[in-house]
Amino acid sequence: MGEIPILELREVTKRFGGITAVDRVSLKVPANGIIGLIGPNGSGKSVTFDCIMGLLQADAGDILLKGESIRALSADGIGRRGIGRTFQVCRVLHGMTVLENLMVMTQARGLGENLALVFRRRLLGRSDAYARRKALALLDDVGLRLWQDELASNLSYGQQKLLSFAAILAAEPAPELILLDEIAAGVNPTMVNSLVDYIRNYRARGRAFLIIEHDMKVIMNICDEVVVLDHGRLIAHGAPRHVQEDPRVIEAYFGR
Amino acid sequence: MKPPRAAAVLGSAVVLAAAIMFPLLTSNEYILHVAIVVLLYVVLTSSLNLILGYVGQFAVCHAAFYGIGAYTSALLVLKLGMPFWVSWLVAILFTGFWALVIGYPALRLRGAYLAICTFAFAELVRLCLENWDSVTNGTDGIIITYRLEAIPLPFGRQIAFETRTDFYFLALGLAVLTCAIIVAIVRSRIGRVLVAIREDEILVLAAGYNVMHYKVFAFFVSALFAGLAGGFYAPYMTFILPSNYDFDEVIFMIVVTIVGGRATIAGPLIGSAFLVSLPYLLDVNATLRMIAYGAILVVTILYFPEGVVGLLRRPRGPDRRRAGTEGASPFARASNSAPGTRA
Amino acid sequence: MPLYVASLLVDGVIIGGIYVLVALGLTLTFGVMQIMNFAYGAILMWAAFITYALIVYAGFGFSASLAIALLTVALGGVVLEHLAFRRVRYDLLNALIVSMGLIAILENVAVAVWGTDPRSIPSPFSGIVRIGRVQFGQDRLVALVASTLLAGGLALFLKVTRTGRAIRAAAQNPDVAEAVGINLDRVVAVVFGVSCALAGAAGALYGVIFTVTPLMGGVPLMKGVVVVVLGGLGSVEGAILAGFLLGVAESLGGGLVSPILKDAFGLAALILVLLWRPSGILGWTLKRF
Repeated sequence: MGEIPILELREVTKRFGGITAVDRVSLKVPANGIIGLIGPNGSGKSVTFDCIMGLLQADAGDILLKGESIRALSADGIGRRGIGRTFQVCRVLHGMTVLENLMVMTQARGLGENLALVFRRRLLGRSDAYARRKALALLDDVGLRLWQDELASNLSYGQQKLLSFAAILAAEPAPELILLDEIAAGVNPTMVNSLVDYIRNYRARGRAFLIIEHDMKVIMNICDEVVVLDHGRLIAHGAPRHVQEDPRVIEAYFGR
Repeated sequence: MKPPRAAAVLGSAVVLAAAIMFPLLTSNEYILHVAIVVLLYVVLTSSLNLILGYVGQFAVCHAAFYGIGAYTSALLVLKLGMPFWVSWLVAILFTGFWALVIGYPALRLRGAYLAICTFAFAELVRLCLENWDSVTNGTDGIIITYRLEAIPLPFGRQIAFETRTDFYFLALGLAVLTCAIIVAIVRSRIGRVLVAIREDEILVLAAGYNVMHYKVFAFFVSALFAGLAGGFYAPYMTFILPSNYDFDEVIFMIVVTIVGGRATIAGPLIGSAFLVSLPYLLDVNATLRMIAYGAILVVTILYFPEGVVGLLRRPRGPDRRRAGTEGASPFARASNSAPGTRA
Repeated sequence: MPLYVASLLVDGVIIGGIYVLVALGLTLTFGVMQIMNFAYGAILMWAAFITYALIVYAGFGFSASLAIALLTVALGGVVLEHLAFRRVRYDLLNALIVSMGLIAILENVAVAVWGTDPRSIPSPFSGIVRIGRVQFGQDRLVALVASTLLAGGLALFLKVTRTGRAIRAAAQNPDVAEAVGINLDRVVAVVFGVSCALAGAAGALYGVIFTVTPLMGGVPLMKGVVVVVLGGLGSVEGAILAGFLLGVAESLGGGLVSPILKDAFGLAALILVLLWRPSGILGWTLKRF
């Protein structure tokens, strides 16, 4: 109860020309919690993610990570603070192998560090081995171990989704907050169940999740709490069961 | 660094050995000259490959950096009386300086905008070289009267650069140095990040990398080598003109890099070896040459964008890998352009 | 002095009109396909040469030669798009490289065919026009009128006709446009054809007012790019405004300050605008242009 939420949005607003994509949205993600973010298409969910990640600059409101404002930080700065994100249209590094996709995520981020490592080969060899082991373990987790040397572009869409999920967790140190943008879309039901298991698993290890989903089964299954957006505004929030029965939510989805 | 493949190491050793023995097999001045020019382009295209091929940034001011290196070094020697080796070093740093000046702003832009911005910069450099008569002698160019000074060694000996063969070995050394540094970068963690940036900049950014730092780094390094080549080859060419460093020149460098095989180490080597030596061997006039280059470039991009190296590696045909999708057009089916679509 | 300034202004407006013409074709292809067709200047040059050849060697009249040249270049553009650009439509970097290769081919074929001697397109407009105490060539007046008409015509075409609206729809959101039944291939072909025709018109005007040489395309291309960027890529209104502004600014700057700085001015303005453009991360904006 007294714990600082890992993520807090306060009246976050984002406008594009005449359209207000996100309208004074406030929400909290408790440490180690799983919050669902749902709403009809165009309700501003992905834009909210973009604002949190610093890919878009919020016009008003504040975004706090573990109590500290991150609104003024650059996107890469936020990335280094321990937030991971998947994208609605799955992004992987197509021209690189599956293993390389993860290796990129395990590396230290600073140019200076990596530059120094160019000259200190021995040191590099040792730590690269560790990164490889970690990456392979993650691939094992999501069932892509056999595809490690395959180009990411040769994977099926569902496999790419899994890869992008694994990539977030490959970061060193692993992110405490993970934003998942429709991770279940385009993935077969068995794989969706596996994903749900992984999420539960990582929550047990201390991570928090903010999940955009259309797949209600996923939402009902793992979310502690659900937040509903419609046309950029937050119209309901609470336990999944309550939200499901909230008349305003039903109207937003079906009533138009 | 990933351990290099045995084939690559062996191949490099063979090529290097051949290159070292080359002047011993022939004393024909003309052939040596061609080889030296090939080595010049190895330096130029390998460095261009770093920013264009590996990072996928369409920066077209490489010839301008080449020119800045040449003119700076030449002017420092001729007007200020600096010893050549010092002026060369200063010229390299000066070129790097300009790379930072134009790089930081320009590399924030994507695709066509970056190309336009760097093109504008290259044009400004050209205008400067052609019109600043008091300093650069305008379109008449500068006649290089100095030679490479001998490097003194202990015991009263020295390395002198009297003959073309001496120059050949020096040029070879530079080419090897360039390739070695590029290889070191590309096969390191930095190289991994650079390629990742080419594949998906936004993803790399969201992962916490300062993408600008990496891009500017690659741009800076590639410019350093262009300046190095410019300053070094000025005395060899005995006169330098603004037209040596114009747009046709950068088109040629791009052709060599792409046709050889971008984002590979061997690509610029193969491209230089064939495309640079061909006009000397065939003695075609400049106009027909440019037509051929343009046609080769277009055909290469359309039918085998991976270049010769790509053909050698994948005889089955081009694979789906997109070499250089930085910023998709609105016609792209996988919409990679927006950070997240509106949902 | 005021007379001098006035004549500079007039010159600026006139040359600005030509810049607008060049920019319109560029902005059209960029807006719809996000491809900066660098070969545009070379296409402009070829139209000028064709016009010249038809008048001087084939003895056609000015209007007929112009019309044939525009048609040829427009068709050539469509063919070019089909052969070269279509394969790299989804790949910006490669499309740029293709256009650069095309420049080398088009320019050097012209050198091989026509040689490098400068020529001038003989036109029926050789008189002098006087407004008040300012005077300028009749050909320049015609150029101004022509470019204004074409610019207006293009804007109208895009707003009113069905094809024009299809083009705008495809530029805004190609997926939705296709879903609505718009044939993207046809739209692209039309856009290329129209933009090449515009380039051709600009080329002919350049050839009348200035000279025709195989390398003449470089300067108009650069100016066109500057105007397109200053006016906002993809924006026809912006191109019109920026074109005239650039022409006037260059004319005044060149006449009052220094002729050498004339070209540098446009380039520097270009770089500055590119850097200060309001944009999102790394030059992204969520809107296409």
